[in-house]
Amino acid sequence: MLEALTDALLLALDPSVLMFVALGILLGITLGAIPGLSGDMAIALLLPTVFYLEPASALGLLVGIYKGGMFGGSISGITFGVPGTPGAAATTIDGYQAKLKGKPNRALHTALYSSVAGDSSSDLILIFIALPLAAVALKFGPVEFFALYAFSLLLISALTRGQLAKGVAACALGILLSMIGRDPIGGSLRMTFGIPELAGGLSLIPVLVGIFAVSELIVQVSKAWAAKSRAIVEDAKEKSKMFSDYDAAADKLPFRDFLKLWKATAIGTGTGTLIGALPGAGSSLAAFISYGLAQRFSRNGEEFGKGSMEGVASAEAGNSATSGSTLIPLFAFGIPGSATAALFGAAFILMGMTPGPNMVRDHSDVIYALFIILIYANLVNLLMGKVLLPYYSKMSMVQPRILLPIVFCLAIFGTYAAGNSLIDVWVLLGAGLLGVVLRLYGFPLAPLILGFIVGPGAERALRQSLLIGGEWSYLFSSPIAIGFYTTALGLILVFTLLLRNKA
Amino acid sequence: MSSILRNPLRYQDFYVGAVMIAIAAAGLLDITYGNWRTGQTMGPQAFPQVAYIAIMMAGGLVAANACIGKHDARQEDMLSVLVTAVVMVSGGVLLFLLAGRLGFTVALALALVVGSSLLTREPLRHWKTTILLPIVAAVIMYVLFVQLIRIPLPGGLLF
Repeated sequence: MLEALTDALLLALDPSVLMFVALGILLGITLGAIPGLSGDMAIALLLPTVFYLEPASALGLLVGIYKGGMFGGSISGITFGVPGTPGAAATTIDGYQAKLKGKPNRALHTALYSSVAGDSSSDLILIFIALPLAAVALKFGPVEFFALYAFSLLLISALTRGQLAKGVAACALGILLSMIGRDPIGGSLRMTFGIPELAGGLSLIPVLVGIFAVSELIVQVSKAWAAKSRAIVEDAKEKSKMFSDYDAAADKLPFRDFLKLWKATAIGTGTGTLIGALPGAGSSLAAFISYGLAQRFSRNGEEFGKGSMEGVASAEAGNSATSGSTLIPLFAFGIPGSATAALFGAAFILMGMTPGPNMVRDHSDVIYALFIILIYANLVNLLMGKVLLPYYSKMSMVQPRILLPIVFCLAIFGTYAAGNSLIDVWVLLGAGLLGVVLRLYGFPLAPLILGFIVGPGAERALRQSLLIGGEWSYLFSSPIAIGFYTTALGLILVFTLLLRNKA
Repeated sequence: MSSILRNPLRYQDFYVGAVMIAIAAAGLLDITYGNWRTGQTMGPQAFPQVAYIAIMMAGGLVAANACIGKHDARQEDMLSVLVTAVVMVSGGVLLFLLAGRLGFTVALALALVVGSSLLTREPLRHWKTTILLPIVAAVIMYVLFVQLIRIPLPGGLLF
């Protein structure tokens, strides 16, 4: 243990790792601040680099992007009223009102501090909960694992935004895509359509990058293409005017003023951490529930929606507090609970590590290094934010139309480089087209990704269970499995009622 | 049912559901009559079968929801997004094939110049953003990926 910790410290505190964390935070904030681009997209695009970097450097880069992207989404929300990411939508409600009242700097600093507070607490919960849970998971058999897979698939299909039926269908489609290739138990070929290159199955990178990044790029390019010249020029002028009229010296947030927002931040942190650990719930839901709870327990509840700093703090803490806890199911059980966790899971697989309870035991140095990076990346985020916050706002002025062709080319060449395989490029473009069609018809993408990643494990667990037990009723022979099924149904019921009340 | 036929666009989700059912039915037929080794109860066909059945049931639910008025709003820019998708995917194929002949950096610079020229508008269109920036970006990507991280990318006549 002590030896692993020492190795981890040496890995995590290497200057090159620190540099990649800072680079990741800058990249994440830049992409998060530009509406339409996101930290998840950046993580997907940079997955191929995982092959070529040291594990700690690669994880530092991805963690930096993730944390930067989380906070970056609130920058354009507060500055221009357009949330850069869905998770920042709740922050925008009061953040933009505060900006209209001449307090953008206070709102941005509140968002930065509460984001770092929520994120750090969530990371600590991850570290202290994931390891004991992983030890419990080592005692699970195939029946319990299948129940756990079913629990995650059910929750993510039901709780992701949009119609439940479309979530289920997206999840099933992801499972089908993961079935292409050789059957893991019998070895026969399935759904390869006579293409020999598909015998090994679809690779993770082209599917993830295509579904997440290429489909979003296509939608953004379509918008950029359709935008009228006059509207673009007026938008650019309006944004520039916002900065020229602004007096930064009169708008500051001393840290002691932020401390007065402890209650709202604590509510956001607690709620975000709890909701983030549930598969499928997501940062957007966490931010809105945190905002609602903070308003209910605030003495100045009537100020919410009118530029309240408590509103900004609760929503942003709720949004960021999902960042650590969303990785708990991945570390403890090998099941990604969100799209971001799925991307991290893919990164681990590319590094030769299998997410799950054995990962901590088999690669303790890298995992402990990741924990250390998660903690100090928050400090780097805070320090960089303090110094660069005035410039961050201007990042949201970058016209995405200049970046779009670069990102598209990066997706194609990055995917090719990851496997040196031409079929991966076709899969990437095909997955991009599929992603576009699904977006247009209102299908959520996160269940598809989860189905794709979890599908083979779930199939293996189910077939092993039935080989041992011989009949379907064997799936309900374990109290733990029954607990997972009933908890999933209970949670779906609770969240459905909660969301209906909110609507 | 007659109102659906009179005003089909209003009930887009009805057709989405129907397509889902058709895809799932085709998959199930393939499992039954196709080249699958379906001898065992829990053979290689079982999990895909469950997935197809889930898609079929979900499709039925989506179509039924549309009939009772619960459906997603139709995206107004659907056609332009689909056209963009086809153009970009074709462009991606062309770019990749060009990279095999001209090399990564030259093909990339060309693609970025074309992309930036198409996506910027007067008076924001300027040689700095349509020519200089793409070339600089291509060089940076070459240095970053090929020289520093040493990712093997297609080489050509020049690089």
